[in-house]
Amino acid sequence: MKNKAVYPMPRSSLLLLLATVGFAIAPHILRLPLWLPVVAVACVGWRIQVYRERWVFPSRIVRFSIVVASMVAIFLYYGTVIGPDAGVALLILAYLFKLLEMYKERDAFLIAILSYFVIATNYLFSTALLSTLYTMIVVLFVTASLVGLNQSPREVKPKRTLGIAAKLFVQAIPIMIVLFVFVPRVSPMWALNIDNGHAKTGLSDSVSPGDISNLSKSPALAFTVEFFGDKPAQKDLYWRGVTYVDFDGRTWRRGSFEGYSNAKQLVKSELVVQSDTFKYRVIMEPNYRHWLFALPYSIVNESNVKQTKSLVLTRKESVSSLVSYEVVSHPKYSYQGGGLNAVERERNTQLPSTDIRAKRKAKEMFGAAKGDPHTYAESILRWFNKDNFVYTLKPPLLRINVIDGFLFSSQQGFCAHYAGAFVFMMRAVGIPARMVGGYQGGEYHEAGHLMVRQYHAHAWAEVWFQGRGWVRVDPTAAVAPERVLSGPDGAVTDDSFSSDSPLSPLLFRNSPFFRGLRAKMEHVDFLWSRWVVGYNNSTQTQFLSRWMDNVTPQKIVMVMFVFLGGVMLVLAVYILLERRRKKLDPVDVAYLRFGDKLANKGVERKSGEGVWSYCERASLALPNSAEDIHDITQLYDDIRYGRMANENIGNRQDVGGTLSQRQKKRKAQFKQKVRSLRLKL
Amino acid sequence: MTKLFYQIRQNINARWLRWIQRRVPKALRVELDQRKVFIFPTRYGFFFLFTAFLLFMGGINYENSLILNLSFFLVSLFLVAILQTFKNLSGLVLVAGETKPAFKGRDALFEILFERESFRQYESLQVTWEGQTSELINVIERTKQPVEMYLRADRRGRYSPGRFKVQSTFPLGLLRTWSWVQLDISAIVYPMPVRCEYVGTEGDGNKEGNIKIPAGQDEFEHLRHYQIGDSLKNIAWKKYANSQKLLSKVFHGVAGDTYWLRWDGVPSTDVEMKLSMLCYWVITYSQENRVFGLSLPSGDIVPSAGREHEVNCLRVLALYGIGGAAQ
Repeated sequence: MKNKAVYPMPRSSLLLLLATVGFAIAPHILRLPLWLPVVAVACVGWRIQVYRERWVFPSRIVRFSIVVASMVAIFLYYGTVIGPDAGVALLILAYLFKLLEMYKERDAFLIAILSYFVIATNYLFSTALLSTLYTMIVVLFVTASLVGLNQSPREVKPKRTLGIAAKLFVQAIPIMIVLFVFVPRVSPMWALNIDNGHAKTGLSDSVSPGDISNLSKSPALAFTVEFFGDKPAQKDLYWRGVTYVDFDGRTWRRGSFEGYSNAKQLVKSELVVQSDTFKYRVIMEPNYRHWLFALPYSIVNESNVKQTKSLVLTRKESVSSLVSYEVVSHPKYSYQGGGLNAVERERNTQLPSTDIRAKRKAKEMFGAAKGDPHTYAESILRWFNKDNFVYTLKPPLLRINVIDGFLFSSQQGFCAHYAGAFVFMMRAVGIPARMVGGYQGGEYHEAGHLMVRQYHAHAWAEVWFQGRGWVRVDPTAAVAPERVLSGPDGAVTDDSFSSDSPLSPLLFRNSPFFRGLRAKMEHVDFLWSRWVVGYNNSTQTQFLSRWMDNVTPQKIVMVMFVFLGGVMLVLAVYILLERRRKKLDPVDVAYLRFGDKLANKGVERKSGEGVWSYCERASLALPNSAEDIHDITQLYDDIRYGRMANENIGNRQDVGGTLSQRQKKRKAQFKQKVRSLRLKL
Repeated sequence: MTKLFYQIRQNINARWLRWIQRRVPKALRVELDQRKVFIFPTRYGFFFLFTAFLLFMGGINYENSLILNLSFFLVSLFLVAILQTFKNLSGLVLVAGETKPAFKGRDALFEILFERESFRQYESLQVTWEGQTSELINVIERTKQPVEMYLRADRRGRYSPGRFKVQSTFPLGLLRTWSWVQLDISAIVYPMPVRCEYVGTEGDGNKEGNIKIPAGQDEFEHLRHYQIGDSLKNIAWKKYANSQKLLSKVFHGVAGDTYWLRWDGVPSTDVEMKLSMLCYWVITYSQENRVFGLSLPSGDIVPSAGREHEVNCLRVLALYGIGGAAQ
């Protein structure tokens, strides 16, 4: 055989493999350049033409040029050939081009293996329940392709191949579940970051209130919280994320010592906590950031999470997939009440030289408050409340002197405007203050967990008072207390809070049916995220500790092997004994029943006795029923040994053969006759 | 050094043969039970596991439990494949079937019957025997599936090929299950015909033509019931007109001369060569439809003609000097 002969792939296998390729690529389509589906169709079409022996595979030079051309095209489209999107596009291209290079069985096998990787990359982008179910169907098709590769080339029924694959698939599921539950989860000892190029969602590391004229009203889930035991009051749900310390007159930026690697860690002695606690688990949607959200003061026991000096939780790796972590929060605490060091005091009172009016106003009010920080803070809040300040999500743009513009001319803004202005006013008289970014509130699901969405994003202030330390002040609450009590939609006084997205939970929110349906869907989603996608080290420990005490990895592995052994044993018994029983043909069963009836009358069939001699003997013993006995024997003879016997070969019902109408009739007649046989002596 | 290696190999080979002989003894009918079936991953299987490992690493790195789950699925599928692949061979019954004789140097036909005793189905099995590999065999619908193997016969006599391997990678190609089976099966191998001059006596001068040979149309013998395939020319149409029964007339040929093929009549001193030459003449005489007898030192075959006689003679030549030739 020549080296370049085409591997004579079984037809059903090729069909399944091409279907697999199509299904595996489908969920990626929207992320890929528009020309890629065209390439896909071309490759599949070409492969079909090769199968039909119309065309041949492209030559090496052609293949090489196609590969180079597509690499260039990918680079031009994404501006890079690394990173998740470009990487997936390259993988898919390689996958498609492999179709045009199937000379050996090995090549076909490789395509099946590549399918697994294409499926796996889909999980990087979507972990939703439905898309996962879809990928499992694709996995079934990959399995079927593998089965097809091992079938005789004469096998032309893809449906039968799929059936075999489905059986294997179903049998693999229990083992998979055991492995999923018990294989100890380890944190990565290395970190290959994939977040470059990902659109980060949610809060960012800087806020420029004046630049935003249209705040996101996205109902996308930011994180879900499952409380164990007591739940805090709605107004206390301040999910702290980032602190914004540096202000340049336009933009508030995150403190530079809050990264994981250069974090200044919190000094325990500066912290006084009371014993009240809330315990809960946060399941965070990927936002490709490093910070985690929690109610302060919070303790998270994860090896890759640090608490910085500004009480921010920072994680070593960015949150690029669903992350879940357990938190213990002490809502009553005081931090750094003893005093701030000079560096920190300076950073938290630093101001740009802009916004002269606001600074002047601050000095005036501070003087009116007789220099008392508490009275001063309250007077600012009262000012926000009394004057014509409006809470809106569509504030006018402010170009220069953002604080002045907001405080004295537009007086319209959302949380970041109020928090920013408040911090500015505090700092203007030398009181340390900072802006905090996070989420406020959340919606309780019927099932009891709290869902925090992107539109719950919020900004507030923290002010340092001698003796009390850092104290949370939410200036927005002074303007729109409903924002804190009932969520963002209750707070806006204009129509700026309504969503354009058709699937927004804000639509139909008044229809009880849709609300119920959505609640159910969200609950399933929550369980999926909580127990499957978010199944990590701590979830595993939590889950397993329901049945065992003192969960250790060694113990988990031991239990895993016990379960694995058990499942394998059951499967082995089922598979190896399946069809091992020598099942009798229904016709034989009926004939044996006939023999039993005769035996009851004293005519037992001797071993090795032929049906006709038995018939003769029985007819002599029971002359009144001789005719029936003869008929039954004749029918049995016809079915088993007559001309029909040949048709019978390969047509036993249990192997899926088809019986001719005549045969079916004859068999039914035979069974009927045996059933209705009444022997007369 | 090479000699030492050779010896070690011989030794291992002999041990292996003894071991497999104990485990799967030679028989007319071999049921592949657990003791006889072996299983091991193919290179695809190892590659598949490596893929699972890569996915596992990816899942850990990206902390993506669905990617981890995919890798667990691959491992699970592999474990199920062990059972399913094993099942695809164990329980199968191999029965020695018919054989067809061949001339030395040609392919003899061996038939193995693949039988299933239960309702379990077997798919994509393959036999490798003396360097020959069969197509993929399915035992799905029928309970018996004959597999024909043509094996080159290199020695005159009874050819009983060695162990054959029956194997399968079904359903996923990740594992191979196999067994080494020796069936008690043999085929007759005739000598290779060698053309030569016959130097013995030509015929015995008996010209009476009283020797019946089955082929030929010389003399009417009897009437018998018509059978499908009988020539229409031979139907007794007169009888049909009288009795409405279809009868065929049976004829036999008559040969006038009787020939003897004698041991000394062929120009060679080598036994194998003599047999080859006699073989040639047996075939030639049979083609010419002559009446001939065969006289060997081990005994004579009385003169006759026809296909049956030819086979008889060839068989005697094949088994000359070998035990069991007496029949």
